[in-house]
Amino acid sequence: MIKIRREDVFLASFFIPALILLFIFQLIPTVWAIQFSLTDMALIGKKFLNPSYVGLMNFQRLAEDRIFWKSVGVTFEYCLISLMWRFTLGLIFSLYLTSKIFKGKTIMAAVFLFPWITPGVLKPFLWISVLDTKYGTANRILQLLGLPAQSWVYERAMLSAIAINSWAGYAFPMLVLASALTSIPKEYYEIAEICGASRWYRFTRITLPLIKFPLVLCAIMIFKEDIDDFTYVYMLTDGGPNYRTELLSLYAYHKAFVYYKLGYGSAIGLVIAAIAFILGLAQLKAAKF
Amino acid sequence: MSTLEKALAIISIILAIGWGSTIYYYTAIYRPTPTIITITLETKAGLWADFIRRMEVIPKFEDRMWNEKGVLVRVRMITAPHRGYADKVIADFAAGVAGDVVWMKSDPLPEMVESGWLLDLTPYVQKWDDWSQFYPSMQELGTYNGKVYAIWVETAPQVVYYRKDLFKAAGLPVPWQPKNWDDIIEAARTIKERLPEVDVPLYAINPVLAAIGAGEKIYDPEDGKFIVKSERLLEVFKFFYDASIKYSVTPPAVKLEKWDTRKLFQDGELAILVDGTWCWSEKWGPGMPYEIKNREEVVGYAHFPSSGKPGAPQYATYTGGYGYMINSKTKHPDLAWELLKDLVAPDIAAEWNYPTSHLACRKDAVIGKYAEDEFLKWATTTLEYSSLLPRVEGFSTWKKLLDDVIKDYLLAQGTTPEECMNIFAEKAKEELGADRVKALPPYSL
Amino acid sequence: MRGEKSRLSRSLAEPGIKIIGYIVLAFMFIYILNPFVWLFLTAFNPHGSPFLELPENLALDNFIAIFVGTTKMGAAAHSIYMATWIKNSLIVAATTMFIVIVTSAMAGYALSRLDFPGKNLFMLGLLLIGFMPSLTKLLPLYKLCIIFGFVNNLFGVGIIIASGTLPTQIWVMKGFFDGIPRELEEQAWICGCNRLTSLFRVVLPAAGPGVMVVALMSFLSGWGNFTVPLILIRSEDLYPISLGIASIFTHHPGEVGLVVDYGVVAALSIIYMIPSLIIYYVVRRHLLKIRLARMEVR
Repeated sequence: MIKIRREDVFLASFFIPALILLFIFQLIPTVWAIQFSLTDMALIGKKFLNPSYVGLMNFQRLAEDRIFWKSVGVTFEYCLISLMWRFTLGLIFSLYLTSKIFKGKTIMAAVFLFPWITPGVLKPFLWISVLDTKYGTANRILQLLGLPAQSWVYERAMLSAIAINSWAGYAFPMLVLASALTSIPKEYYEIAEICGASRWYRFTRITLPLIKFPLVLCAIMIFKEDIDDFTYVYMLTDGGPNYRTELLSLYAYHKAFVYYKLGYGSAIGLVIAAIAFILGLAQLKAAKF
Repeated sequence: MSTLEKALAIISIILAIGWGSTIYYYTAIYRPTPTIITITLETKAGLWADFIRRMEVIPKFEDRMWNEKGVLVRVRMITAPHRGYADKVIADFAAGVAGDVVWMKSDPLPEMVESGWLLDLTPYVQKWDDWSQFYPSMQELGTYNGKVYAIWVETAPQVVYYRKDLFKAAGLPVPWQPKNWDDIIEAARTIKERLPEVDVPLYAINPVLAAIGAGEKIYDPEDGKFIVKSERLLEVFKFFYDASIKYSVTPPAVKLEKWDTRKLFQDGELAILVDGTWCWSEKWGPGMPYEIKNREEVVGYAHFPSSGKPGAPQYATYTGGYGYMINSKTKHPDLAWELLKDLVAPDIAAEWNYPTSHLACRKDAVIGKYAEDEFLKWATTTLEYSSLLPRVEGFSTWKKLLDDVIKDYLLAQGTTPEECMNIFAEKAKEELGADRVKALPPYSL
Repeated sequence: MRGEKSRLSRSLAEPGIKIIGYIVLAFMFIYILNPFVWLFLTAFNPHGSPFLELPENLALDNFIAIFVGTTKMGAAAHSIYMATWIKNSLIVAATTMFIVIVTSAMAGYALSRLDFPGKNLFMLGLLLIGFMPSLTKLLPLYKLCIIFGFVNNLFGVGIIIASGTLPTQIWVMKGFFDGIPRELEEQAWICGCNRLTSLFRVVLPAAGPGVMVVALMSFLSGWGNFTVPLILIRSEDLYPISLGIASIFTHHPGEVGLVVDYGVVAALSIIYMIPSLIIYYVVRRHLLKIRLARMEVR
């Protein structure tokens, strides 16, 4: 008995390095930021020198802030559609990768993973060359085909941002899905076939339930990414015509670094974290983790 | 290897690393060093830092300090990329790690002073002969609440560029100096009529410039309020409305979709462009990405005129600047000041401003190639009428709101000028607070 | 049985589906690759522009400029320290990789083999700990880094980036360890190894693929990260490539294309991507073995 417990302690000590890193560089800044959200601190100006505690006033203001609520809607739109696309593309590509009928897997895999491997700094620039109204590749091709040029960077900014995000982000779900798909034992399918199951039945009753957990976890990770990163909307419209593309994370950035209201911006950040947290929990509950 | 041996191996490695780093750490502390004073210079990476290195400002400064004062100084350069540079500097100050001497733009100066980040340079400046060489407007630009906080190296006003070849083809007079906004719209409409292949006859959407051109004060220092509704402000909205909606000489998409106006101008798809003086060489100059061959024959320039309504000045422009400030927390203010003086020296300023078509901020920097450049000679005359933007907390918000309203309402939806002004006043009241905004008669909030 | 199987594979191999499949694939390729067309064309174009143009002549000018050190921007010329940037990026990426591998392997192993009350909550907590948007944590993180001396320190940058990707990587490693049956370890115990030895001799080699996948992902993180070096690095000779590109290339809403030689930037970007491609190539076979969670049998 004692031997096992000592071993368990030894094993538990394996957590220590990771916990130290996470505690210092993730938890402490989070707590600090929460503290900011309870003040009216500004990044610059008089309120930088003398911030004062205002308790939950920032959050009260948030509740009355018209733009905040609009931003919540925008964020949900962006995140949900992105999530759907990333998974759809990931699924399609993973099916290609794991299928037996398509050749050239190495080339496929290399091409599919190309956007994933591109460093983040490059992605906006690559897409500006495509989406620009006058000189971008997309519109030039459209005009060649006799179709009207579209305003990708303005009218359809949300669509473009989602398209770029999906382009950059399908790789992780693809890998997770492909891995999950290849690990389902063939026997399950064979048995189902013998019992006369249709392809659809096999998909919904065997494949889906088995990859449920990796899918949900992947979805949580993706959601966390999308809710955090505003690079694409920033470069396209910086919040869009009348806040139509103002993601919550972008709104927090604007409030904190453009209007210098650090306290308010931190409050928004906290709300973002809370939303993501609750949604994550809900997803896990739904999948009966 | 048995477990014991393995454990011993691990322990000895850890001990070795620990011992080694302890020794290194202690010798680093106790290594006898001559008293070298280090001061830091913060500037933009790439072009800017390279320039300082090319001009050998730092070695010459270090020599000068040794020879004149017997002090050993080492200057360390801190750099940040151009992208997001101002935000980085602000973050550095906020975290307390900004350099001793910092290259920065003029816009956030008031807020930075309010935060207590900048050293008051007034005592130094009063004893400095060269100070009188700086243009009064530049001295003013670096002053806040009566004290001097920054010395500028470059400044770049806005001017009107026009394509002489397109003007000639449309039968418009060259050289051209519009007297008021109606002249500009007239010329644009002529271009649109006679040269329909020019996609964008005019691009002049610079709200702040127009506000100054209308003669609007923007901020009243007596009661500390921003003006958000007035006849002159209405002129601004009308000007853009005429250009974009009424006469369609400025397609809204240009601003909304961020068309590359410099490239359009290069390609001859844009005939009249309001932009900064730096475009002359940095965009259209030889070897540059948007190079225009025969630039002198093709590109014309003129002063930006006023609205022409009573109370408006003849010409209008505004200019910020980029220059050096000193960190209030510096441990060596005198040395920092000496370095600053070297960095803003006349020959350095001339050498920097000439290739980038910025204006020097001091009269004695008009030397060498800078002095001979026709464009720069003309551009310097703009300094005579250039206004200073209000330097108070909240102006950047005012500016952003104006820009937003013009983008989201006037350009996107074709909202009438009167309605736009109402919307602007509402938003300003919300963002800035009802006690910081006011309307001039005959309007009220 | 046989008949049914061949009916299935026959229907899958229907030429119709196959052709449609390839056509769809072709469109997907276009969607994926089209931005890179600009990249490659511009890199070899001595007069690059931010938009897709067919170059008048293809030349290696841009690549030469990068390695020789100057661009042809006339009076406003500036030099590019490509070799330095590559070295710095490598240091950052290697640091991130090393730290992530060691810490996530340890934590992942423990998570896989240890059972304790509240384990699920703990694993969830790990995942959700990084849920605060990075920008909100920016200023506190900056101050923290100053305290730790991470400012202007490439290793510090690596550590910060590592702590950011850690939650995901721990999950990935745990998944890989879960895939190594306990019987393997128990075998080793029977043969007289204790836990530690069995870890080194048996488990780690079997988890090789997992280490490789985590290595790739953490390398990509460290190699491509821009915001952390932006905050922490202040001397040009310590700039990683991401900062290097930003210092000669900028895109800000409202400001279109500043002082830039797009051809050089494109060339630089290609060079930027090469190490990622190399590591991907080494690791590619193992990418399909990621297991995020134990699969349940219904």
